[in-house]
Amino acid sequence: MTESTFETVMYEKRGSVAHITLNRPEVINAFNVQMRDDLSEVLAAIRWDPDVAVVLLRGAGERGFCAGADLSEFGSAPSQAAARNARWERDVFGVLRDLTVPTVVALHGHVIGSGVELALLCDIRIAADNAVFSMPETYYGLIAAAGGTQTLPRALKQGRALDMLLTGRRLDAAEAVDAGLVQRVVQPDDLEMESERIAGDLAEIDPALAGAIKSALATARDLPLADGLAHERRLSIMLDRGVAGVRPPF
Amino acid sequence: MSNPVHQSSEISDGRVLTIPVGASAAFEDACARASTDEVVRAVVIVLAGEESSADLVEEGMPATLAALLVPVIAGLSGQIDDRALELALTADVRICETGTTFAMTTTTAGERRLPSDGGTQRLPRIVGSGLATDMLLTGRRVTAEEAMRAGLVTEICPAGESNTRARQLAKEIAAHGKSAGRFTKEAVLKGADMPLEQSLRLEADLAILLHTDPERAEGIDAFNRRRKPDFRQEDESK
Repeated sequence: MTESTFETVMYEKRGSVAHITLNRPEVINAFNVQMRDDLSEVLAAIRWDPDVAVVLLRGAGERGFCAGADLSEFGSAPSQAAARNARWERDVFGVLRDLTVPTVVALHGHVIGSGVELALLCDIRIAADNAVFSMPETYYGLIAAAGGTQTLPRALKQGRALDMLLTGRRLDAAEAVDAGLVQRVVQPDDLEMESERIAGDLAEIDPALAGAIKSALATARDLPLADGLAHERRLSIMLDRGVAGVRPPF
Repeated sequence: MSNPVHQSSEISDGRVLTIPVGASAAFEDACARASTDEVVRAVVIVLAGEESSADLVEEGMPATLAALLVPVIAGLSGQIDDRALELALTADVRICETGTTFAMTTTTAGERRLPSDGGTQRLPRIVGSGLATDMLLTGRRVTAEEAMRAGLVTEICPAGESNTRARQLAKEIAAHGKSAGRFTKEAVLKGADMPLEQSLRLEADLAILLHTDPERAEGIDAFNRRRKPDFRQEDESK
């Protein structure tokens, strides 16, 4: 077991499961620049760590997973060009999305704005039944900018996604599972155990196989069917041959 | 007012424009106003399928409504069929009254034609290909509850309240940032046709473009001072 504590994130490797905990409970784990930088370091380490087979993300504290972006730091970029450069120089959201190992996120309490967006970048979303989800960006004159305008309609039906994004409508855990925003709902007391059980099960899958499934699903999302089928076939042949040492990305 | 010619169009609180369905000229006028009047922040369209609602909606109306950059809320009741459904599908937020039903009957009844105002394209994108194929090929009528499960509507309100409720939602949206609402609509609808990677670039560029909008600064200031954002100044300076 290895453990590292950053200012805003706890990182702990237990066996092959990488546990990441957003750790600003005093502000419901609001996502700030420091958290972006801390997460960026953790994810860079995970990305190149052959011992990590699965990632489990959660938020510290009773009140919730993540209350969204810390707006007190917004508007501090010297120019639009600088803001755009910063967005892509440290693309923490892209790194999380592109991890080849399965990712699980355990959600409870407030899951707002960037909190929803972080969750949507993970593969398996499990929520405590006390979780409440909302996207309040337009209320504050903003748009979702951690992928939410794209990941939300891809996870939910388009009309539901537009409704959440435009009206700020809140979904409770039952509505979230019906809408496809999360895949599973459990009692709050069971969230930790259940998310760890799922992570443990996923850690048993051959990393090459898990990576191939993620790669195939990304293709199903983005490519015409014929190209997706060809990609699936290619992945299958590669896995059948069991080429030693082959690891994703493919 | 940017265009006095349009002052007779029905408008409540100055920011929510109700687009009438029925007379083609009035519809076109209202849509033109929605796209040129900077004050308009949300559009409401009310479709009550009392008699034959499909006949109220003329060819081309869905395309005109779909072209609007401003968020559109549809309040639906009765039988929402054929071109009326195609018009509703161009709205961003759809709510209906209990008892509302939805059908695409053009393939199985009457003139037996291909829906040509977006029905074969928007319906599968909104409800999924399984239900869309069923509706388009068999003409099966879908209940409000099934529409809710399928994501065709996002709320079912009591009978007689779809108009009021649609206006309420529109007022909520109108109180939000103007560019924020329009950019969000654009990101979702235009990004849907792109590979994820490219669509995320679109989102990020719109978010950065929004940095130039005074409403963004007002929203952030409101958040930090724990007060309600007030975006009215923008309209008053017009």
